[in-house]
Amino acid sequence: MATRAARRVLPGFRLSFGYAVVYMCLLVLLPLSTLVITTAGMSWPDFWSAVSSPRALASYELTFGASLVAAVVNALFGLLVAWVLVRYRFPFKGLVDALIDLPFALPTAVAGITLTTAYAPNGWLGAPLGRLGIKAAFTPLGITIALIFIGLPFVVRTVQPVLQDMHAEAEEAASVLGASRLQSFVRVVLPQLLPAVLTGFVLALARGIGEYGSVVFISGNMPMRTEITPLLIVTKLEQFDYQGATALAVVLLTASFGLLFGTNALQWWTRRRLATP
Amino acid sequence: MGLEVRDLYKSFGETPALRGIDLHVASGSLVALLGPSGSGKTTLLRVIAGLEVPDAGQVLIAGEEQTRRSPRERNIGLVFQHYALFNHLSVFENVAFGLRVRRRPKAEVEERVRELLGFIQLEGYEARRPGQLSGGQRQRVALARALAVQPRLLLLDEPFGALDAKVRQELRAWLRRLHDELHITSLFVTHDQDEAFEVADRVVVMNNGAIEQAGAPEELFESPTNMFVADFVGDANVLQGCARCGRAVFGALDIPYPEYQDEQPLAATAYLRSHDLELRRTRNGGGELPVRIVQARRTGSTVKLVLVALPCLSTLHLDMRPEEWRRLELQPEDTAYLAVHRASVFTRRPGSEEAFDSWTSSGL
Amino acid sequence: MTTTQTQVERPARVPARDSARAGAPSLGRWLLTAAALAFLGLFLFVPLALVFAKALEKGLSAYAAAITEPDALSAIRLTLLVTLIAVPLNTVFGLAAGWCIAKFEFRGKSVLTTLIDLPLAVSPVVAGLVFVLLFGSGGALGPWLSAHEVNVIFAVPGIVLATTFVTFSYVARELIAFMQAQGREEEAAAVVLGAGGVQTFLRITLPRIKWGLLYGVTLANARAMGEFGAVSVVSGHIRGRTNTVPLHVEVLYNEYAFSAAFAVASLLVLVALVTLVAKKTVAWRARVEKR
Repeated sequence: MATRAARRVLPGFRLSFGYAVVYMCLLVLLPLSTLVITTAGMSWPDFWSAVSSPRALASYELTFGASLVAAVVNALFGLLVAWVLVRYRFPFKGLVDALIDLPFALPTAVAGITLTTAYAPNGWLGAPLGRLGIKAAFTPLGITIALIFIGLPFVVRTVQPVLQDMHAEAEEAASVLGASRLQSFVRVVLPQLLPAVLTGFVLALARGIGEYGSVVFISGNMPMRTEITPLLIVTKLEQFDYQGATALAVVLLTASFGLLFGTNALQWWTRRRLATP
Repeated sequence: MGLEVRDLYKSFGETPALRGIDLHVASGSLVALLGPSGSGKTTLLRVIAGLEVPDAGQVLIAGEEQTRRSPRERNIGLVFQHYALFNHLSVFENVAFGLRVRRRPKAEVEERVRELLGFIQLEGYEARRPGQLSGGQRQRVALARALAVQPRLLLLDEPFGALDAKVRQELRAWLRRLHDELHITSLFVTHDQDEAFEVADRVVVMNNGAIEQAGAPEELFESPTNMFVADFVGDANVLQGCARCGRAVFGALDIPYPEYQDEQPLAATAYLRSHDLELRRTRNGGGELPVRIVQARRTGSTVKLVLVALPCLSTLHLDMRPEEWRRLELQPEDTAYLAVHRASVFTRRPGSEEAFDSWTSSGL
Repeated sequence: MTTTQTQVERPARVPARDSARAGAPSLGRWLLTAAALAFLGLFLFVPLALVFAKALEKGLSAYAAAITEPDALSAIRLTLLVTLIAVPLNTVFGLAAGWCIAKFEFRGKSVLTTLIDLPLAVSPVVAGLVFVLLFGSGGALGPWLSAHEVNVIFAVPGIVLATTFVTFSYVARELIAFMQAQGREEEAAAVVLGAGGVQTFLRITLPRIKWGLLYGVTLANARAMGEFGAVSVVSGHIRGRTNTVPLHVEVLYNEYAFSAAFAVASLLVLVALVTLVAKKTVAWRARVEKR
């Protein structure tokens, strides 16, 4: 009722809607459609051999594997960081909280050279690791480190608001009912945070799969060993193998769209499950 | 198992919330903590539950010191104002929670939860989530959850505060019945005096972090020991006047007040309850207060009168039965006489800000 | 001041959280805080400090020289140019999308909302690739473009397009969230009072969304200035012509001119820090204005 009235009352629907749709079609949908067109121009065996070459398979394993490990690390530590930021007080908390978003705001290339320098064998963090016999830069571990940096804000920022809004009452109820701190965390707090943790996890994972700038510097870029899929796309482009590049791009896009669709479904499901009028 | 609270103090930063509370709740009784918001009643409940640590004082349940115990060791049932149900768990699991964390055998949990769901009349709702229940149903689940662990003491924080009037009325009666069946020592917080007087055996009136008066409902109503209780409990007409030489005078109303025999006048306040007043057409004896009728309004089964005392012009409210009103044959703007059968008079000692002397005069 | 007031009004509520913590063993709390800070230190604070340490390693004059040499200056100029085109374009789009999504009901609204988020899910490399496919020599429009001697790929237009693509969602997302939270009653009231569309927008809507708009623009700006993957694919790395600041950083780094690379990078870090400050400010302003 109110919406229909608003539709009549407020002006500018046609103009704003028309402009938004045309702009989006020209800038986003038209360019993305070239992926479909180019793929459609390929024969199935060509496509299959492009996406399943040993070098491509090795790059998937690395890209998805490192992204998965980084997202798991971020889920655990993101939960911890969010918990500490919401529940505890410590000096410079406001500053720490503001800096969480740094990976969102920092150009990936800067993140790349910085992390590489920090974790290089003679770097601030690479040297101590080296003495422990751990080589970080130019290995899959380095790639994972870069992806942890890139995905760090996701879980923190999805969990933080949920934790903030969570009533202390539920935990108090649990403790009055005889639950220990651990029982109350596992049985009462965690289930309420889990959807947010999962959402952040998937967002970090999707981001990690497509990440390029922060990884190319630290990865060493050895084919079959430390070559991520986005880098392989660039390599194919530089060799003017547009079709090969497109085929790999389709694989990446399918994966990240699938994940994103998954989070939307997850959020929808959570809202329904916890529907409180 | 009775509850004993001794000399409890608690403040939040600079704000004192509890200022020396002494309270005894007899085993098996149902006691209401009544007070305006901010009076400290919820804080007292939370200290008893162990959710707040008092600055000083003791909490004893069945004679056992509880003050240093954590909430989980106290074995208390607590029903929160906004239920605090676990939204991610089913009704069954909510009720079972306390038993699960105590690692009771499955069969026992099953049996106890079924029994309680029957008790709160929510059989068949086991698999629902709290979000799918009405407010009243949620409140009952919260109560069953608190009762599942067979607590020594049941605490309820504004248990019906968030519900609408009709459901509230039903649940009040239900809570009273439930208490009569279980005889569990219960303490509940409310700001609604009807609720307190209807449900509780004893009512404790709190104000500003202290207990003003505790007693049976009629005791509070008939003989308030201080101005706060006289003012807060029930609707009373207030008259300002002064006391001297064994009399208290409020305009044309003159009441014996033997507590104060000095000649130096003291400021006095009188509280007159509607049911202690009688409206008459004519003077009959001399102690009556002349009044002018300003308004008469029929609401349901009563007539609500607005009167102005002559000559001091204080406004008074009086309820009477319609047939009585008709018998008097009075109209607005008429002058009539008000007989005062009973009044609570309080005076302030010179130089003292807080101490009030009270005296209830009856049978005038 | 404010905290004291809340405590006075609701004595039970504010300390509730305190007391939930009161019983917590302080050792556990200390350990958790230390673990969280150690994690952040390893992945955030140390790298941040390192940028400035490396940038200033060879002194202030070397720092100044690195950011004022001709190639650096032309990279800065190009980045500013690209940002000045891409961000306003996306801001206009954001306002249009925000207006129609937040103020009207129509079919396919959720589809439109999802599509607006689409570019965020596209790998930067793929974002560059689609423009190569469209405008490159082997692409759909390639032959026509080369016949008319228009250069898109390996030229400034390609960089602008790729940057606009990757920053497409930022302003729109912020504005949609902001405008949806505000509802449409005030605009409807203005129109009923006789305001025209433009007047309503300028006098009612814009003042109310300015903080959300500012934050969205700041985010888009940071991303536009810092975009690397997509721009790297379409630019062709022509020094002094198609090098943006991040690409210039890469070139310097690959030439082992580390302190020069970090000096130029520190400019981008400053942009990022300004963005974070803007975010804090907007959150704070929004809280203040809600009161």
